[in-house]
Amino acid sequence: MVACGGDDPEKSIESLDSWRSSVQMATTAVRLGWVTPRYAKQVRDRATAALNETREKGPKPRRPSEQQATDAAARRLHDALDSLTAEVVR
Amino acid sequence: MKKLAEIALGIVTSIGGFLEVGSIATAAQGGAEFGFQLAWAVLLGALGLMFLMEMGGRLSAVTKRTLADQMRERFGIRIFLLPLIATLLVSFLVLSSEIGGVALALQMATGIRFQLWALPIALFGWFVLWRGNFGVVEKGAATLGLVSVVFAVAAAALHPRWTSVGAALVPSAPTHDHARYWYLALSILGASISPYLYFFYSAGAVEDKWTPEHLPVNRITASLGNLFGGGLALAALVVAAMVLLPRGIHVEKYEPLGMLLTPALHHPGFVFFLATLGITCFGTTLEISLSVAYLLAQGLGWSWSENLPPSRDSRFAVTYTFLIFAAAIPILIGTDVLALTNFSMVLTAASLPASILPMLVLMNDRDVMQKHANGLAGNLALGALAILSVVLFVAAFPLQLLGGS
Repeated sequence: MVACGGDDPEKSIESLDSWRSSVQMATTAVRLGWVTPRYAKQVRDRATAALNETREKGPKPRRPSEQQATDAAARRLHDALDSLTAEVVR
Repeated sequence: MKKLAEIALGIVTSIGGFLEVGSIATAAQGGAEFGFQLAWAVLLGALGLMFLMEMGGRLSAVTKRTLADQMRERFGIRIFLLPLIATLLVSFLVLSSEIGGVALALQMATGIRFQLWALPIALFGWFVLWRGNFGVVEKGAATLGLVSVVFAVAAAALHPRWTSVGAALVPSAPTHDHARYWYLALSILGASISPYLYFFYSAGAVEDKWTPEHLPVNRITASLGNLFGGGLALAALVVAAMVLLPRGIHVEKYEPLGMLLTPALHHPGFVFFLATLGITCFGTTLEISLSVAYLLAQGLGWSWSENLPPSRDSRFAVTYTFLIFAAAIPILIGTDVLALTNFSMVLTAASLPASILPMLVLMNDRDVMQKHANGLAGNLALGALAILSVVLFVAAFPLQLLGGS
Protein backbone atom coordinates (compact mmCIF):
# COMPACT_ATOMS: atom_id res chain seq x y z
CA MET A 1 0.00 0.00 0.00
CA VAL A 2 1.32 3.44 -0.89
CA ALA A 3 0.53 5.33 2.28
CA CYS A 4 1.09 8.80 1.01
CA GLY A 5 -1.46 9.82 -1.58
CA GLY A 6 -2.01 6.58 -3.50
CA ASP A 7 -1.34 6.81 -7.26
CA ASP A 8 -2.76 10.27 -7.83
CA PRO A 9 -0.18 13.12 -7.88
CA GLU A 10 -2.81 15.60 -6.62
CA LYS A 11 -3.53 13.40 -3.63
CA SER A 12 0.18 13.14 -3.05
CA ILE A 13 0.53 16.93 -2.92
CA GLU A 14 -2.49 17.13 -0.62
CA SER A 15 -0.88 14.57 1.67
CA LEU A 16 2.46 16.42 1.76
CA ASP A 17 0.67 19.69 2.58
CA SER A 18 -1.32 17.92 5.29
CA TRP A 19 1.91 16.71 6.88
CA ARG A 20 3.40 20.22 6.59
CA SER A 21 0.42 21.62 8.52
CA SER A 22 0.82 18.91 11.17
CA VAL A 23 4.51 19.74 11.51
CA GLN A 24 3.79 23.48 11.74
CA MET A 25 1.15 22.80 14.39
CA ALA A 26 3.64 20.67 16.34
CA THR A 27 6.25 23.45 16.07
CA THR A 28 3.86 25.98 17.58
CA ALA A 29 2.61 23.52 20.20
CA VAL A 30 6.09 22.56 21.42
CA ARG A 31 7.16 26.23 21.48
CA LEU A 32 4.19 27.08 23.70
CA GLY A 33 4.80 24.06 25.93
CA TRP A 34 1.51 22.42 24.95
CA VAL A 35 3.18 19.17 23.87
CA THR A 36 6.44 17.54 24.90
CA PRO A 37 9.55 17.66 22.67
CA ARG A 38 9.49 13.84 22.80
CA TYR A 39 6.07 13.83 21.17
CA ALA A 40 7.01 16.54 18.65
CA LYS A 41 9.92 14.37 17.52
CA GLN A 42 7.47 11.56 16.75
CA VAL A 43 5.42 13.88 14.53
CA ARG A 44 8.67 14.93 12.84
CA ASP A 45 9.73 11.33 12.28
CA ARG A 46 6.35 10.35 10.84
CA ALA A 47 6.34 13.36 8.52
CA THR A 48 9.91 12.60 7.43
CA ALA A 49 8.90 9.03 6.66
CA ALA A 50 5.93 10.30 4.62
CA LEU A 51 8.21 12.68 2.69
CA ASN A 52 10.73 9.93 1.95
CA GLU A 53 7.99 7.54 0.91
CA THR A 54 6.57 10.06 -1.54
CA ARG A 55 10.02 10.69 -3.00
CA GLU A 56 10.81 6.99 -3.35
CA LYS A 57 7.47 5.32 -4.04
CA GLY A 58 5.09 8.19 -4.81
CA PRO A 59 3.14 8.47 -8.05
CA LYS A 60 5.03 9.62 -11.13
CA PRO A 61 3.74 13.04 -12.24
CA ARG A 62 2.29 12.97 -15.75
CA ARG A 63 3.13 16.59 -16.65
CA PRO A 64 6.02 18.94 -15.80
CA SER A 65 3.61 21.20 -13.91
CA GLU A 66 2.65 18.28 -11.67
CA GLN A 67 6.32 17.54 -11.05
CA GLN A 68 6.94 21.17 -10.09
CA ALA A 69 3.94 21.22 -7.77
CA THR A 70 5.04 17.98 -6.07
CA ASP A 71 8.59 19.30 -5.67
CA ALA A 72 7.29 22.55 -4.21
CA ALA A 73 5.08 20.67 -1.72
CA ALA A 74 8.05 18.49 -0.74
CA ARG A 75 10.20 21.60 -0.24
CA ARG A 76 7.55 23.24 1.93
CA LEU A 77 7.37 20.14 4.11
CA HIS A 78 11.16 19.96 4.26
CA ASP A 79 11.35 23.59 5.45
CA ALA A 80 8.67 22.97 8.06
CA LEU A 81 10.60 19.93 9.29
CA ASP A 82 13.74 22.08 9.66
CA SER A 83 11.81 24.56 11.81
CA LEU A 84 10.43 21.80 14.01
CA THR A 85 13.87 20.24 14.40
CA ALA A 86 15.28 23.63 15.48
CA GLU A 87 12.48 23.98 18.03
CA VAL A 88 12.90 20.46 19.40
CA VAL A 89 16.68 20.68 19.88
CA ARG A 90 16.53 24.18 21.34
CA MET B 1 -32.54 4.09 45.68
CA LYS B 2 -30.76 0.91 44.60
CA LYS B 3 -32.38 1.19 41.15
CA LEU B 4 -31.24 4.80 40.84
CA ALA B 5 -27.69 3.78 41.71
CA GLU B 6 -27.86 1.00 39.12
CA ILE B 7 -29.11 3.43 36.48
CA ALA B 8 -26.42 6.00 37.31
CA LEU B 9 -23.69 3.38 37.23
CA GLY B 10 -25.04 1.94 33.97
CA ILE B 11 -25.09 5.36 32.32
CA VAL B 12 -21.59 6.17 33.57
CA THR B 13 -20.41 2.81 32.21
CA SER B 14 -21.95 3.45 28.81
CA ILE B 15 -20.54 6.97 28.55
CA GLY B 16 -17.08 5.95 29.72
CA GLY B 17 -17.05 2.97 27.39
CA PHE B 18 -18.33 4.66 24.23
CA LEU B 19 -15.17 6.27 22.89
CA GLU B 20 -12.36 3.98 21.80
CA VAL B 21 -9.77 3.83 19.06
CA GLY B 22 -12.31 3.34 16.27
CA SER B 23 -14.75 6.06 17.27
CA ILE B 24 -11.96 8.56 17.97
CA ALA B 25 -10.16 7.87 14.68
CA THR B 26 -13.23 7.80 12.44
CA ALA B 27 -14.81 10.89 14.04
CA ALA B 28 -11.51 12.75 13.71
CA GLN B 29 -11.12 11.70 10.07
CA GLY B 30 -14.70 12.70 9.32
CA GLY B 31 -14.33 16.10 10.99
CA ALA B 32 -10.94 16.79 9.39
CA GLU B 33 -12.16 16.07 5.86
CA PHE B 34 -15.85 17.03 5.87
CA GLY B 35 -16.33 19.37 8.85
CA PHE B 36 -19.59 18.80 10.69
CA GLN B 37 -21.22 17.11 7.67
CA LEU B 38 -20.87 13.54 9.00
CA ALA B 39 -22.50 14.36 12.36
CA TRP B 40 -25.58 12.43 11.21
CA ALA B 41 -23.53 9.22 10.97
CA VAL B 42 -22.43 9.60 14.60
CA LEU B 43 -26.03 10.16 15.70
CA LEU B 44 -27.31 7.24 13.62
CA GLY B 45 -24.61 4.97 15.07
CA ALA B 46 -25.48 5.93 18.65
CA LEU B 47 -29.21 5.45 18.03
CA GLY B 48 -28.62 2.08 16.36
CA LEU B 49 -26.48 0.85 19.22
CA MET B 50 -29.03 2.15 21.71
CA PHE B 51 -31.81 0.00 20.22
CA LEU B 52 -29.62 -3.10 19.87
CA MET B 53 -28.31 -2.87 23.44
CA GLU B 54 -31.79 -2.31 24.83
CA MET B 55 -33.03 -5.40 23.01
CA GLY B 56 -30.04 -7.52 24.01
CA GLY B 57 -30.51 -6.46 27.65
CA ARG B 58 -34.28 -7.04 27.49
CA LEU B 59 -33.84 -10.52 26.07
CA SER B 60 -31.40 -11.44 28.84
CA ALA B 61 -33.52 -9.92 31.60
CA VAL B 62 -36.62 -11.80 30.43
CA THR B 63 -35.05 -15.18 29.62
CA LYS B 64 -32.06 -15.03 32.01
CA ARG B 65 -30.00 -16.29 29.10
CA THR B 66 -27.72 -14.46 26.74
CA LEU B 67 -28.28 -13.38 23.16
CA ALA B 68 -25.68 -15.87 21.85
CA ASP B 69 -27.22 -18.69 23.86
CA GLN B 70 -30.69 -17.91 22.49
CA MET B 71 -29.43 -17.61 18.93
CA ARG B 72 -27.84 -21.04 19.05
CA GLU B 73 -30.93 -22.65 20.54
CA ARG B 74 -33.39 -20.94 18.17
CA PHE B 75 -31.46 -21.44 14.92
CA GLY B 76 -29.23 -24.46 15.64
CA ILE B 77 -25.47 -24.61 15.62
CA ARG B 78 -25.10 -24.50 11.80
CA ILE B 79 -26.90 -21.18 11.40
CA PHE B 80 -25.36 -19.86 14.61
CA LEU B 81 -21.89 -20.44 13.15
CA LEU B 82 -22.45 -17.51 10.78
CA PRO B 83 -22.83 -14.76 13.44
CA LEU B 84 -20.27 -16.60 15.57
CA ILE B 85 -17.53 -16.60 12.92
CA ALA B 86 -18.37 -13.11 11.61
CA THR B 87 -18.31 -11.63 15.11
CA LEU B 88 -15.16 -13.54 16.08
CA LEU B 89 -13.28 -12.30 13.02
CA VAL B 90 -14.21 -8.63 13.32
CA SER B 91 -13.82 -8.64 17.09
CA PHE B 92 -10.30 -10.01 16.72
CA LEU B 93 -9.36 -7.19 14.34
CA VAL B 94 -11.01 -4.56 16.54
CA LEU B 95 -9.20 -6.02 19.56
CA SER B 96 -5.87 -5.67 17.77
CA SER B 97 -6.74 -2.06 16.94
CA GLU B 98 -7.58 -1.35 20.60
CA ILE B 99 -4.28 -2.81 21.78
CA GLY B 100 -2.68 -0.63 19.11
CA GLY B 101 -4.52 2.40 20.52
CA VAL B 102 -3.14 1.82 24.03
CA ALA B 103 0.32 1.21 22.55
CA LEU B 104 0.20 4.47 20.58
CA ALA B 105 -0.89 6.44 23.64
CA LEU B 106 2.08 5.00 25.51
CA GLN B 107 4.40 5.71 22.59
CA MET B 108 3.29 9.36 22.43
CA ALA B 109 3.84 9.67 26.19
CA THR B 110 7.17 7.89 26.46
CA GLY B 111 8.76 7.88 23.00
CA ILE B 112 9.14 4.08 23.18
CA ARG B 113 7.93 2.49 19.92
CA PHE B 114 4.36 1.20 19.99
CA GLN B 115 5.37 -2.31 18.89
CA LEU B 116 7.25 -2.79 22.16
CA TRP B 117 4.12 -2.07 24.20
CA ALA B 118 1.95 -4.77 22.59
CA LEU B 119 2.93 -7.69 24.81
CA PRO B 120 3.04 -5.76 28.12
CA ILE B 121 -0.47 -4.43 27.38
CA ALA B 122 -1.72 -7.94 26.55
CA LEU B 123 -0.11 -9.30 29.71
CA PHE B 124 -1.62 -6.60 31.92
CA GLY B 125 -5.01 -7.03 30.28
CA TRP B 126 -4.88 -10.78 30.74
CA PHE B 127 -3.89 -10.30 34.42
CA VAL B 128 -6.90 -8.04 35.05
CA LEU B 129 -9.22 -10.56 33.37
CA TRP B 130 -7.69 -13.52 35.21
CA ARG B 131 -7.74 -11.94 38.66
CA GLY B 132 -10.65 -9.50 38.34
CA ASN B 133 -14.39 -10.02 38.23
CA PHE B 134 -17.11 -8.68 35.97
CA GLY B 135 -17.59 -5.53 38.04
CA VAL B 136 -13.92 -4.60 37.74
CA VAL B 137 -13.92 -5.07 33.97
CA GLU B 138 -17.26 -3.45 33.21
CA LYS B 139 -17.51 -0.66 35.72
CA GLY B 140 -13.89 -0.05 36.71
CA ALA B 141 -12.49 0.50 33.24
CA ALA B 142 -15.51 2.40 31.98
CA THR B 143 -15.58 4.70 35.01
CA LEU B 144 -11.95 5.61 34.36
CA GLY B 145 -13.02 6.13 30.76
CA LEU B 146 -15.06 9.11 31.89
CA VAL B 147 -11.87 11.04 31.22
CA SER B 148 -13.16 11.11 27.62
CA VAL B 149 -15.59 13.86 28.69
CA VAL B 150 -12.60 16.10 27.90
CA PHE B 151 -13.75 16.00 24.24
CA ALA B 152 -17.02 17.71 25.21
CA VAL B 153 -15.08 20.31 27.22
CA ALA B 154 -12.77 21.00 24.27
CA ALA B 155 -15.69 21.21 21.81
CA ALA B 156 -17.44 23.75 24.05
CA ALA B 157 -14.22 25.76 24.48
CA LEU B 158 -13.83 26.06 20.70
CA HIS B 159 -17.27 27.73 20.36
CA PRO B 160 -18.53 25.98 17.23
CA ARG B 161 -21.71 27.23 15.56
CA TRP B 162 -24.07 24.78 17.19
CA THR B 163 -26.78 25.57 14.65
CA SER B 164 -24.42 24.25 11.94
CA VAL B 165 -23.69 21.15 14.01
CA GLY B 166 -27.44 20.65 14.50
CA ALA B 167 -28.10 21.08 10.78
CA ALA B 168 -25.51 18.38 10.03
CA LEU B 169 -27.52 15.86 12.03
CA VAL B 170 -29.68 15.58 8.91
CA PRO B 171 -27.86 13.50 6.26
CA SER B 172 -26.67 15.40 3.21
CA ALA B 173 -24.68 14.54 0.10
CA PRO B 174 -21.04 15.68 -0.05
CA THR B 175 -19.80 18.34 -2.46
CA HIS B 176 -16.48 16.54 -3.07
CA ASP B 177 -14.87 13.11 -2.68
CA HIS B 178 -18.14 11.17 -2.67
CA ALA B 179 -16.54 7.73 -2.22
CA ARG B 180 -14.40 8.96 0.68
CA TYR B 181 -17.42 10.58 2.35
CA TRP B 182 -19.51 7.41 2.25
CA TYR B 183 -16.49 5.31 3.26
CA LEU B 184 -16.05 7.47 6.37
CA ALA B 185 -19.82 7.34 7.10
CA LEU B 186 -19.58 3.55 6.94
CA SER B 187 -16.51 3.54 9.19
CA ILE B 188 -18.25 5.78 11.75
CA LEU B 189 -21.26 3.45 11.78
CA GLY B 190 -18.99 0.41 12.11
CA ALA B 191 -17.19 2.06 15.03
CA SER B 192 -20.47 2.69 16.86
CA ILE B 193 -22.54 -0.41 16.09
CA SER B 194 -20.10 -3.18 16.98
CA PRO B 195 -21.61 -6.63 17.59
CA TYR B 196 -19.29 -7.25 20.55
CA LEU B 197 -21.04 -4.37 22.36
CA TYR B 198 -24.54 -5.84 22.38
CA PHE B 199 -23.29 -9.39 22.95
CA PHE B 200 -21.24 -8.08 25.90
CA TYR B 201 -24.17 -6.06 27.24
CA SER B 202 -26.45 -9.09 27.03
CA ALA B 203 -23.89 -11.29 28.81
CA GLY B 204 -23.46 -8.54 31.42
CA ALA B 205 -27.18 -8.59 32.16
CA VAL B 206 -26.90 -12.32 32.95
CA GLU B 207 -23.71 -11.79 34.99
CA ASP B 208 -25.56 -9.11 37.00
CA LYS B 209 -28.57 -11.47 37.37
CA TRP B 210 -31.11 -9.15 35.77
CA THR B 211 -34.80 -10.07 35.92
CA PRO B 212 -37.83 -8.46 34.21
CA GLU B 213 -37.80 -5.98 37.11
CA HIS B 214 -34.64 -4.55 35.57
CA LEU B 215 -36.34 -3.65 32.29
CA PRO B 216 -36.77 0.06 33.18
CA VAL B 217 -33.11 0.17 34.29
CA ASN B 218 -32.15 -1.46 30.99
CA ARG B 219 -34.16 0.99 28.92
CA ILE B 220 -32.84 4.09 30.67
CA THR B 221 -29.25 2.85 30.74
CA ALA B 222 -29.18 1.90 27.07
CA SER B 223 -30.91 5.11 25.98
CA LEU B 224 -29.14 7.76 28.03
CA GLY B 225 -25.76 6.01 28.10
CA ASN B 226 -25.57 5.72 24.35
CA LEU B 227 -26.95 9.18 23.67
CA PHE B 228 -24.41 10.78 26.01
CA GLY B 229 -21.66 8.50 24.67
CA GLY B 230 -22.63 9.39 21.12
CA GLY B 231 -22.45 13.02 22.22
CA LEU B 232 -18.78 12.49 23.06
CA ALA B 233 -18.11 10.98 19.62
CA LEU B 234 -19.91 13.98 18.13
CA ALA B 235 -17.69 16.26 20.22
CA ALA B 236 -14.62 14.50 18.79
CA LEU B 237 -15.92 15.18 15.27
CA VAL B 238 -16.64 18.82 16.14
CA VAL B 239 -13.15 19.32 17.61
CA ALA B 240 -11.55 17.78 14.51
CA ALA B 241 -13.69 19.99 12.27
CA MET B 242 -12.62 23.10 14.23
CA VAL B 243 -8.94 22.20 14.64
CA LEU B 244 -7.85 20.02 11.72
CA LEU B 245 -10.05 21.11 8.81
CA PRO B 246 -8.99 24.80 8.78
CA ARG B 247 -5.33 23.73 8.86
CA GLY B 248 -5.78 21.22 6.03
CA ILE B 249 -4.65 18.32 8.21
CA HIS B 250 -5.93 14.89 7.16
CA VAL B 251 -5.62 12.05 9.64
CA GLU B 252 -3.29 9.64 7.81
CA LYS B 253 -1.52 8.40 10.95
CA TYR B 254 -2.39 8.58 14.63
CA GLU B 255 0.55 10.73 15.72
CA PRO B 256 -0.84 14.16 14.75
CA LEU B 257 -4.00 13.43 16.75
CA GLY B 258 -2.02 13.98 19.94
CA MET B 259 -2.39 17.74 19.30
CA LEU B 260 -6.14 17.60 18.68
CA LEU B 261 -7.19 19.11 21.99
CA THR B 262 -4.28 21.51 22.49
CA PRO B 263 -5.74 24.59 20.72
CA ALA B 264 -8.66 24.42 23.15
CA LEU B 265 -7.01 23.16 26.33
CA HIS B 266 -3.27 23.65 25.81
CA HIS B 267 -0.96 21.24 27.70
CA PRO B 268 -3.78 19.58 29.69
CA GLY B 269 -5.39 18.87 26.33
CA PHE B 270 -2.36 16.83 25.29
CA VAL B 271 -2.27 14.93 28.58
CA PHE B 272 -6.00 14.25 28.57
CA PHE B 273 -5.97 13.09 24.97
CA LEU B 274 -3.32 10.50 25.73
CA ALA B 275 -5.17 9.46 28.89
CA THR B 276 -8.43 9.14 26.97
CA LEU B 277 -6.87 7.11 24.17
CA GLY B 278 -4.97 4.83 26.55
CA ILE B 279 -7.71 4.25 29.14
CA THR B 280 -10.66 3.85 26.78
CA CYS B 281 -8.76 1.52 24.45
CA PHE B 282 -7.60 -0.57 27.41
CA GLY B 283 -11.15 -0.79 28.76
CA THR B 284 -12.37 -1.86 25.32
CA THR B 285 -9.55 -4.42 25.09
CA LEU B 286 -10.90 -6.07 28.24
CA GLU B 287 -14.51 -5.89 27.04
CA ILE B 288 -13.80 -7.41 23.61
CA SER B 289 -11.67 -10.22 25.07
CA LEU B 290 -14.49 -11.11 27.45
CA SER B 291 -17.18 -10.62 24.83
CA VAL B 292 -15.55 -13.13 22.45
CA ALA B 293 -15.01 -15.61 25.29
CA TYR B 294 -18.68 -15.20 26.26
CA LEU B 295 -19.79 -15.69 22.68
CA LEU B 296 -17.82 -18.91 22.23
CA ALA B 297 -18.68 -20.30 25.65
CA GLN B 298 -22.39 -19.50 25.37
CA GLY B 299 -22.58 -20.67 21.77
CA LEU B 300 -20.81 -23.96 22.44
CA GLY B 301 -22.39 -24.64 25.82
CA TRP B 302 -19.30 -24.26 28.00
CA SER B 303 -19.30 -23.14 31.61
CA TRP B 304 -18.70 -19.37 31.74
CA SER B 305 -18.62 -16.38 34.05
CA GLU B 306 -16.07 -13.69 34.76
CA ASN B 307 -17.19 -13.97 38.37
CA LEU B 308 -16.02 -17.59 38.61
CA PRO B 309 -12.38 -18.50 39.30
CA PRO B 310 -10.65 -19.59 36.05
CA SER B 311 -10.32 -23.15 37.36
CA ARG B 312 -14.12 -23.51 37.22
CA ASP B 313 -14.56 -22.27 33.64
CA SER B 314 -11.21 -23.19 32.17
CA ARG B 315 -12.23 -23.20 28.48
CA PHE B 316 -13.72 -19.72 28.90
CA ALA B 317 -10.49 -18.49 30.58
CA VAL B 318 -8.29 -20.15 27.96
CA THR B 319 -10.27 -18.43 25.20
CA TYR B 320 -9.67 -14.88 26.45
CA THR B 321 -6.08 -15.75 27.31
CA PHE B 322 -5.37 -16.99 23.77
CA LEU B 323 -7.29 -14.18 22.16
CA ILE B 324 -5.66 -11.25 23.93
CA PHE B 325 -2.13 -12.51 23.22
CA ALA B 326 -2.94 -13.44 19.61
CA ALA B 327 -4.46 -10.00 19.01
CA ALA B 328 -1.23 -8.39 20.24
CA ILE B 329 0.75 -10.03 17.41
CA PRO B 330 -0.29 -7.67 14.56
CA ILE B 331 0.77 -4.72 16.72
CA LEU B 332 3.99 -6.45 17.77
CA ILE B 333 5.01 -6.82 14.12
CA GLY B 334 4.32 -3.14 13.44
CA THR B 335 0.98 -3.18 11.56
CA ASP B 336 -0.24 0.34 10.76
CA VAL B 337 -2.77 0.90 13.55
CA LEU B 338 -4.89 3.47 11.69
CA ALA B 339 -5.16 1.30 8.57
CA LEU B 340 -6.05 -1.68 10.77
CA THR B 341 -8.64 0.42 12.62
CA ASN B 342 -10.29 1.66 9.42
CA PHE B 343 -10.33 -1.81 7.89
CA SER B 344 -11.79 -3.39 11.02
CA MET B 345 -14.51 -0.72 11.27
CA VAL B 346 -15.58 -1.37 7.67
CA LEU B 347 -15.54 -5.11 8.26
CA THR B 348 -17.59 -4.61 11.43
CA ALA B 349 -20.22 -2.73 9.43
CA ALA B 350 -20.22 -5.53 6.85
CA SER B 351 -20.72 -8.18 9.56
CA LEU B 352 -23.84 -6.62 11.08
CA PRO B 353 -26.53 -8.58 9.18
CA ALA B 354 -25.17 -11.83 10.64
CA SER B 355 -26.23 -10.80 14.14
CA ILE B 356 -29.03 -8.27 13.54
CA LEU B 357 -31.21 -10.46 11.31
CA PRO B 358 -31.37 -13.32 13.88
CA MET B 359 -32.17 -10.69 16.54
CA LEU B 360 -35.14 -9.54 14.49
CA VAL B 361 -36.57 -13.07 14.67
CA LEU B 362 -35.75 -13.62 18.34
CA MET B 363 -37.22 -10.34 19.54
CA ASN B 364 -40.53 -11.25 17.90
CA ASP B 365 -40.66 -14.81 19.19
CA ARG B 366 -43.35 -14.82 21.88
CA ASP B 367 -42.21 -18.24 23.10
CA VAL B 368 -38.90 -16.63 24.01
CA MET B 369 -39.87 -13.06 24.89
CA GLN B 370 -43.42 -13.67 26.18
CA LYS B 371 -45.18 -10.33 26.72
CA HIS B 372 -41.89 -8.45 26.32
CA ALA B 373 -41.56 -9.15 22.58
CA ASN B 374 -40.96 -6.16 20.34
CA GLY B 375 -43.79 -3.74 19.75
CA LEU B 376 -44.32 -1.71 16.59
CA ALA B 377 -41.72 0.91 17.48
CA GLY B 378 -39.10 -1.69 18.34
CA ASN B 379 -39.76 -3.58 15.14
CA LEU B 380 -39.61 -0.44 13.03
CA ALA B 381 -36.25 0.42 14.59
CA LEU B 382 -34.88 -3.11 14.29
CA GLY B 383 -36.27 -3.47 10.76
CA ALA B 384 -34.59 -0.21 9.75
CA LEU B 385 -31.35 -1.41 11.33
CA ALA B 386 -31.64 -4.74 9.51
CA ILE B 387 -32.06 -2.92 6.18
CA LEU B 388 -29.20 -0.56 7.05
CA SER B 389 -27.00 -3.53 7.96
CA VAL B 390 -27.65 -5.17 4.58
CA VAL B 391 -26.87 -1.87 2.79
CA LEU B 392 -23.63 -1.59 4.78
CA PHE B 393 -22.77 -5.19 3.93
CA VAL B 394 -23.25 -4.56 0.21
CA ALA B 395 -21.44 -1.21 0.24
CA ALA B 396 -18.54 -2.06 2.54
CA PHE B 397 -16.08 -3.67 0.15
CA PRO B 398 -16.59 -1.36 -2.86
CA LEU B 399 -16.19 1.65 -0.54
CA GLN B 400 -13.08 0.15 1.05
CA LEU B 401 -11.56 -0.03 -2.45
CA LEU B 402 -12.77 3.39 -3.63
CA GLY B 403 -12.64 5.49 -0.46
CA GLY B 404 -10.01 3.85 1.76
CA SER B 405 -6.62 5.53 2.06
